[in-house]
Amino acid sequence: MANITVIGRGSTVRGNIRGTSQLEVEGHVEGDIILEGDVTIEEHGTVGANIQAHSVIVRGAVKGNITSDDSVRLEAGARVLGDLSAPRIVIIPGALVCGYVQSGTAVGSAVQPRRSSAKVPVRVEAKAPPRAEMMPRAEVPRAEIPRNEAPARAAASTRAAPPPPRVVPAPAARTNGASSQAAAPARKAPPPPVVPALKRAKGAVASKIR
Amino acid sequence: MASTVIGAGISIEGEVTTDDDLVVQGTVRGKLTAREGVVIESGATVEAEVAGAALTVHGSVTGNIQAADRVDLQPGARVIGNVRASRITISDGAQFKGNVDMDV
Repeated sequence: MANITVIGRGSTVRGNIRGTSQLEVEGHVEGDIILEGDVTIEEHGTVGANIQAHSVIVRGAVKGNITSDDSVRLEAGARVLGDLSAPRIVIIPGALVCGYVQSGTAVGSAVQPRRSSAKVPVRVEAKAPPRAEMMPRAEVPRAEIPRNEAPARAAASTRAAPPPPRVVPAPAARTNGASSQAAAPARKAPPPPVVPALKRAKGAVASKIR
Repeated sequence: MASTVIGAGISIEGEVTTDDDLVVQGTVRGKLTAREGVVIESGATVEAEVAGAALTVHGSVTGNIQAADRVDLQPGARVIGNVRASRITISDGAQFKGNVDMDV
């Protein structure tokens, strides 16, 4: 166990943790974690503050923002209530997120307003490899949308999902079929003209009859 | 392996509480409380009130120490503060400055 810090299951830390080593949290931490090493929040671990580290893996619960120089990985069972910001972000099916997620290199300028969904797709598209990594996994949480809507929608914003991911459920559900989105208005457009046309036609017919 | 380890290169400012064993190799400022044994390894710096069942010190502690069972100051230990425990050993090579209260 060379230079690993473990906060065990029965342990609580109230205060800030700083340093360079690797950290595993199986207990409870109530204070900021600022590390140059890797942080793992294990299944039973809970953190009630911000985390800033080289890479972060979450299997437990975090209530606070997570910032990473390298990657953030939310594994099955993770519960995160806060914003994620890292060059690479991975969210595995079964993880819950509620917050603004920003992947890409412009980590420092994370002052974007929350829910400005327009930014997210642009960033993710700019990075081809991570997107390829994230896209296949994207399929499963989408199927979960009815069960836990909020996290799934928040998660959707990471993967360049169609523009408004956090809006009302109904439009979000429609946008999932991205290709049919364009077709839908086209189909909708014809009906109104048809009806007046019919009326006019009827009127015309009626007037002719008269 | 102890359940909670504060590794070298880690510094905690605040309170650390545990139901199990605690090993400190890094730095802790504030308060250390353990239900079981506490080991302050050599190279560790503790500037805190320390409480536990049994306490073994190889490193540096500044602050009062209270142990339900025993306190062992090992060679190389450097302790500044009062010690309160029913049993205490101070090895040759340990530095200690403070009061000892052995709960007679």
